[in-house]
Amino acid sequence: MAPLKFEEKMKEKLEQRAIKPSENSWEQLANQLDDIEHQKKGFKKIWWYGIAAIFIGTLMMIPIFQNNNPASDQDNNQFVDVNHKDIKQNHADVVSDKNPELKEEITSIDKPENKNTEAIVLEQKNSIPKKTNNLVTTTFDKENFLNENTEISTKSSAITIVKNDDEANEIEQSKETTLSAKSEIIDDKIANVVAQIEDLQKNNIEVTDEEIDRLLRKAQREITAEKILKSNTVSASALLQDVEQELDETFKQRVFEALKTGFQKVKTAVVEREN
Amino acid sequence: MKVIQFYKSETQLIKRAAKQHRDAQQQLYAQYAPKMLSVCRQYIRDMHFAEEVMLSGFLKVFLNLKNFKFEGSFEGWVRRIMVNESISFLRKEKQILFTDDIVNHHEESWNNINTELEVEQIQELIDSLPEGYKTVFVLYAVEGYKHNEIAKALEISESTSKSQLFKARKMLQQKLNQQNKISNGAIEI
Repeated sequence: MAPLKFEEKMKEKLEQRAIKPSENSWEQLANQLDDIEHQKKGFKKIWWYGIAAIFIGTLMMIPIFQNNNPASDQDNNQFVDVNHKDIKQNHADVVSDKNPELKEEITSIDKPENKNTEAIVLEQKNSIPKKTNNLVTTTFDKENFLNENTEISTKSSAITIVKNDDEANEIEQSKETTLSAKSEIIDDKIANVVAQIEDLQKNNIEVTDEEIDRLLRKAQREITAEKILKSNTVSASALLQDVEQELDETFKQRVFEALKTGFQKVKTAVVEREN
Repeated sequence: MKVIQFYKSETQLIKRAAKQHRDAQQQLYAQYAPKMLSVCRQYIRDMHFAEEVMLSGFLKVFLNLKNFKFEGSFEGWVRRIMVNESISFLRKEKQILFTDDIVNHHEESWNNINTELEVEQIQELIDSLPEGYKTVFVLYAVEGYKHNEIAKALEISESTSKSQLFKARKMLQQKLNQQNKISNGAIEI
C-alpha cells in the first residue's frame, strides 16, 4: 500500500473526529469576550471624554487668545483714538455715527470754511496789485467769512440741540472754540498782510505779484503752525509744511555750524600759536 | 450543551456573531468547537493545552469575524486560524525542533501494513513522532498544505519541510510494521 493511500485514510478519519470540549469552555470564552468588550467600551469612553475635553478647552481658550491678542488691543485703541480725534478735530464723523442724516449737512458746513479762505487769498492776489480800493473787497470777504462762521456755529448748535446729550454739547463747545480760534488767527494774519502791502505801496508805490505771493505763503504757514499749536491735533499737510520749514532751517543751521566750526578752528589756532 | 437554533442560515448566524451577539457566537461555538478541538489535538498532545489553544482560536475568530468575506468556507477559515494558533503555541513553548538526524531504517514495503486503524491509534502514532516531524506531517498529509506554505508557516526552508516529511513517513512506516509484526505474532501464537 502506498503512503499516499494510507495518508488519505488517515486524513478522512481525523477530519471526521470530533472531541467534545469541557462543560465550562463556552463560559470561559464568553467571559474573555465580555472582558475585551468592556475594555473596548472603556477605551471608547476615554476617547469621547478626551474629545469633549479638547473641544471645551478650545472653546475656553478662544476668548482668552482673543483678549490677549495685541492686534485686537490696537484695534480697540485705534477706535477710541479716532473718537477723540473726531470730537476735537472734526465733529462731523462723531455726529454721523449716531445720525447719518446730519453728516451731509455738517460736511457742507465744514467745506465752505476752506473755500472762503481760498477765496480770500485768490481775491487778495487779484485785487491788491491793481488798486488799493480792492482791499475793501477783501475785508468785505473776510466779513462774509466771519458771518458764515457764525452761521456754521449756529447750524452746529442746532445739531447739538437735536442730539440733546452731553457728548454733543462737548462737541459743540470744542467746535466753537476751534472755529473762533481759527477765525482770530485768520483775522490777524489778513490784517498783517494788508498792513504790509499798504506799507509797501506807500514806500515803493508799486507792489509786485511775487511779493504778495511771498507774504501770503508766509501768512499761510504761520496760520497752519498756530492751528497746530492751538488745536493740539495733527494733520498730515500741516506736519509736511512743518517739516519743510525745518528743512529750510537746517540749511541755515548748517551754514551757521560751518561758520561756528571755522571760527573755533581759527580761535584755537590763534590761542595755540607759537609766538 | 443545548443551543436553540435561532438562525436560519449560517451567513445570518455569522453576521450576528460578528456584531458580538452572544447567542449567535454560542451557536457557532457549539457547531465548530468539537471539530476544532480535534484539529488542535493533532498538533498538541496535552488535551488541556489543546482546549486552551482552541479557546484562544475561537476568541480570535469572534473578534475578527467582521473580516470574513464569505469567499471560502467558514469552517476552512476557522480551521486555518486553529492551525496557526496551534503552531504559535508550539513555537512559544519551544516544542518544535527540526532535527536533521539521519534515521536508519530498513527499506520496507507499505503493502504489508494494516491500515485499518482506529482514529485513536492514528493519533497515538502521530503523537509518537518528534514535534518537528509531526507538525510537518499533519500540515502536509491532513491539512493539505504545500511545502512552501509549511515553510512559511513554520519559518523554515522548503527543503527542511520536505526532509521532515520524508523522515516522518519513514518513522510511521517503521512503527506500523512493528505494530503489524506484533499483531501477526499475537495471531500466530
